[in-house]
Amino acid sequence: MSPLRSLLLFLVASTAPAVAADGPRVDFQRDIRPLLSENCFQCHGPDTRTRQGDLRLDIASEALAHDPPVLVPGQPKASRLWQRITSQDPQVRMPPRDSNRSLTRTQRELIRRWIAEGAEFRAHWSLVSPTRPRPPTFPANFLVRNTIDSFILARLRKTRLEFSPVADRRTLLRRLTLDLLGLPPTEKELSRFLADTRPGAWERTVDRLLASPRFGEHMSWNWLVASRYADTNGYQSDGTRMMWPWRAWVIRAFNDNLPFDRFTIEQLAGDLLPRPTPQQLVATGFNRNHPLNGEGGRIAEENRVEYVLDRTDTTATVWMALTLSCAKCHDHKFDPLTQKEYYRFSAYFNSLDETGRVDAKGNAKPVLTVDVIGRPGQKVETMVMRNRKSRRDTFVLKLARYDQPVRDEKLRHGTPAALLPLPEDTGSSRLGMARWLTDPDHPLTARVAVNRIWQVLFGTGLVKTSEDFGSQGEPPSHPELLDWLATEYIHRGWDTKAMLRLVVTSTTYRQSSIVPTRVPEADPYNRLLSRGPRYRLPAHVIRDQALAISGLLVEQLGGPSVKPYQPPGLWADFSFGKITYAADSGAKLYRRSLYTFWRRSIGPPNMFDEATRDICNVRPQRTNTPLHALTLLNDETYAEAARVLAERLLARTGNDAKRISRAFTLILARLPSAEEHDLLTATLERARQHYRDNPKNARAYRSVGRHVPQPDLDVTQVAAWGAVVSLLLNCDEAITRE
Amino acid sequence: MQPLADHHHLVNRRHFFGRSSVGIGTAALATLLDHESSAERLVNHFAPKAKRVIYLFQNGAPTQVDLYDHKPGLQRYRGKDLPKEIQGGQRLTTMTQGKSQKVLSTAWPFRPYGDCGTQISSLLPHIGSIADEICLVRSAYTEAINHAPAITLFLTGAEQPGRPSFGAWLSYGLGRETDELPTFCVMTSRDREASCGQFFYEWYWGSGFLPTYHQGVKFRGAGDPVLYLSNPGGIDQRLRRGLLDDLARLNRIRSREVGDPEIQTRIAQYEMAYKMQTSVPDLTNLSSEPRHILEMYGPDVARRGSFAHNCLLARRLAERGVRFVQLMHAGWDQHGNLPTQLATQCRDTDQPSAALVKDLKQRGLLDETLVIWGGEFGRTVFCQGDMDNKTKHGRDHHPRNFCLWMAGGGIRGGTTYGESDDFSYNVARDPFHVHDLQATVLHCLGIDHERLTYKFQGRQFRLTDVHGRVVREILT
Repeated sequence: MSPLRSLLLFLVASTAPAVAADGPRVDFQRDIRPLLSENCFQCHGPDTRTRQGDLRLDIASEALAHDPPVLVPGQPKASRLWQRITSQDPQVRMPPRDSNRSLTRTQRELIRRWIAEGAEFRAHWSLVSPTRPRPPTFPANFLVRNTIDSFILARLRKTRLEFSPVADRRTLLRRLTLDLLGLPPTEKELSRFLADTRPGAWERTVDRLLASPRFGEHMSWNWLVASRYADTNGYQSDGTRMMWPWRAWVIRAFNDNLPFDRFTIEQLAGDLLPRPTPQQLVATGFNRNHPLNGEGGRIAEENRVEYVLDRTDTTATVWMALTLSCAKCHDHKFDPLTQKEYYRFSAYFNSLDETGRVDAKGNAKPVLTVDVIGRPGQKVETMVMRNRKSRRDTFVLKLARYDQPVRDEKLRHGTPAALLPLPEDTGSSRLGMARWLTDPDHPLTARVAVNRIWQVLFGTGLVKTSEDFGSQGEPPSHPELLDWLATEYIHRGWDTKAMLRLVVTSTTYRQSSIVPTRVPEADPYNRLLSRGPRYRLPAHVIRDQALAISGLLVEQLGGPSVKPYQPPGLWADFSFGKITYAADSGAKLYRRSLYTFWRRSIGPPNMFDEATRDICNVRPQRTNTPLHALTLLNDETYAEAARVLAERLLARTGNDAKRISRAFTLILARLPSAEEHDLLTATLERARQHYRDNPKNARAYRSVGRHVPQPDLDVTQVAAWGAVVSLLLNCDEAITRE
Repeated sequence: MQPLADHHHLVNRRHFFGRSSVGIGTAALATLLDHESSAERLVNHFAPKAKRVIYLFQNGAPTQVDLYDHKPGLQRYRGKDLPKEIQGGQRLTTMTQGKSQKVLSTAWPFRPYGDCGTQISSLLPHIGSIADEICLVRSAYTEAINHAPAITLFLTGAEQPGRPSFGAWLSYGLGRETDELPTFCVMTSRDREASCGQFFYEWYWGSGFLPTYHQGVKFRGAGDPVLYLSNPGGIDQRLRRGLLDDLARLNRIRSREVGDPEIQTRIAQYEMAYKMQTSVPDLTNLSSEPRHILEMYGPDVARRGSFAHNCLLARRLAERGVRFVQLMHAGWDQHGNLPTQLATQCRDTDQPSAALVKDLKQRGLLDETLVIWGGEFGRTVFCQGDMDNKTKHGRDHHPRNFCLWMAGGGIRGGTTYGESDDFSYNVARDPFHVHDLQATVLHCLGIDHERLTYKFQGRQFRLTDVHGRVVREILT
């Protein structure tokens, strides 16, 4: 058998659900709803206009009441559904051929069993408010450090798996520091942690990191991406805007641990709070971060409507992981969201005092002049939310076109009915909507937020599709844990740092990421977490890490965006010479990537795999291509970091062995093995010989980057050590969170 | 067997330089691997006619009235108002809204070309000379009326950015043919006068919600042909080779210790990066091209970053098995000084476009390479600006009817398709929508456009959204 074939068979076998006839009851949520959603809802789901045969299969009351009966609980053979999905007649068989959908035998069998077991329906899990599940209990077990561990371990044991051993302390410190700060631990931090053998060392370290100003910077990155933050407007001309005061607000909010409910309310509706502070107004920039179209010949109203819809989609994705945007042109095909509800929700964003034009020096009104955080006396104008005096009418827009309103019915503001009802007294404004989102009974907000916290710490959310909690999204790997975490978040007053602390102090988080020789067949993707996940760091963290390790990083909080290195001609090439890139100099070259000027139409070229800032994005990508290798090998940023680190190593007295160990500690937070040590010694020797033979190259190497070279060092030595360091900075471990 | 390691190995092969020798559809594997695509059905739905696509995208919207849509009868209407029933209250841009609409018949003669006798403007004699190879579509239409949304629609299937581009879909659906170069390459150029061009946004060749390794790799007109291709100062290829060998050794030690198959992938990607450092300069070095070939493409061919230069590179990329080559040439947006700008623009693009088709043909590559030439919409038959001053008039955007052509892999040459009304204003026969173009091109590549899908945000997305018809009438 070819390896490929056996691989496929393995995968097929390992992903098929258990179907033993005497197995446990079929679980509607896990086994049946996804099948019905994928294969049936398109024509027998929420969308009234395309519904066939007046049959709706997504809610029990309609599916079971259909006449003639489609489902007869307990009697598959008498159920038309079963008859239709097993018919041999292509005219009768469901799903129809032209739908390009089909059910496998296994899937049909699941449906048969489900009917036989009573055809029980339940509402989609994410639309029902989480109730606090009771955690599984274990006899005193040192591995179960907190409730997270009980849920994870209970699930592992169901599949006869156990936790992996705890990772070694160096790996752990590097992991934690990268996860919470987006930076590697310093030499001093590492040695202090290793020396701290008293109980509670881990918890103390966690608290130290959560209190670091670098924490807020790191956490802000994903929020900026979700909010489609950029320093320019996008589209034709791509003019510069002024939104970094909002960025500073986000960083401060994370550092001050602003509770998530307030974080939400201030960003969605800070302008409607009683006597809002200027910073609460700045917070509303969240929904002004969308692109602005300044193309000649564009109709301003078309732009304005586009922005309203963008805010609607973004808000639904970020807070509710709902694909509400699918209901723009028709009722949602899979989730109970109507087109009318889409436009009702859009009404919250439809009455801004805006024109659809870029009418405020690169910004678009409404704008606000504010003090810059941390720089008293300095003022800047930034975009905010502010309603106009009279409300605009909202209608359903045919095909989402601005010039095709369905004027038969003026729509009131409103939230989708399938979720939590909107309380009468808060119902009329954006503020009411924001409060509704943070209502403890809201079925989605807390779940979606804790899932993102999980995603930050494990690389993948408990719900892998962190952007879609709907019927077509992936069900949670640990539904009860997700609900427990959601209720815990609310219970703790939406305290984000507390939740992070809870997760990183668990055994689950502290497991080693070493892949066992025999990968558990029941869990090839490690979704059950029988080990720690191991994955490549995002590009922005790789860059920040290189700056930190080489000592180049300038730790300065907030402020305007900066322009670090970029290959010449990129912007000019893009804009036919209308816009050129002038890199900054000095400290501005070495700020964290968070502060890099982000041109929307052509982002920083070394930020591979980072989301573009055109639309909201909540799930990071991780791919592995030669272009990434070229970036890390050849980008001036990395070449300079290697050179400067080489100088740093050489500046301290010592021998080759000591320097190799120190480079390992700085880059990988560990010491080399004898084998690795020998390998690098040989590399160093060869590089030295190479540069002795090619002194011109050594001199050329010395002037890589603008950081002034240390004058008293031997150029051959610097170049040879630079080669060793660059090798280490490129090794898989250095760019991986282990 | 170590299934996971094998799978990662395969994924790696697929990610960037993979798949060719493997007898299974990329997409099929993708389904098994991440359950996110509907896969086994994707690849090779039918026997493909073409293996690759070269899209000569003409940014800014070439005027069909002056180039391809022969309407001799219009001379009689010159300077007269466009009849109301023709205009029909359609949407206009803010540039010509509410202004008079006087018919501006073309100033250039048309003539029949080739055995087929297709009428083409005398501005395009070289394209005329390949008339028997091309199918000229005279009934293309779109909904979009502004450049960026219209280009985005052609290249991603939707007006708003966010969807994967044409080439990304092909990379996802078909995988790669070469181990030396990216699957999807992009080059841009602009008109000589730099008078009327729009920017090229990265989403025109982006991967949208597909994994980013499907996005187009931009070949640049200046500096490194591919970003970060050259070593930094003081590091030569000999030293680099030694360092990469040591890096692989170091990575293998780690791989042994932590068992993560992704490390093997990393090692392979670094090796491929090294290969690219040779294959890309080899690709862009034109010194091996004989003089008669260079002359075919015209004098501009020597100028790096020109359309002619890019056309020749496109042929070289096609020869090397690149799936999708996207050339974008700006400068067709002639609102105000059309007579001068158009003549210059045609001179710069006519010869290289035709040379590419001829060159592919003489190498036996045209049969398996589909070439597309066209912009994002057309231009109005009525005048924008001063009717009587030819340095101050031009044509506005016109989405209702325009022309484009295709040649090679699976396309019936020497034909025309569709027809506009007497004013080149509305489609009169056989409408050909943007999504129809996409469906037809995918068909030529052996793909059913309704079955090349990717699940994102709970929905199966496709290039043609929920539209598109394979226009069989133009296929061989």
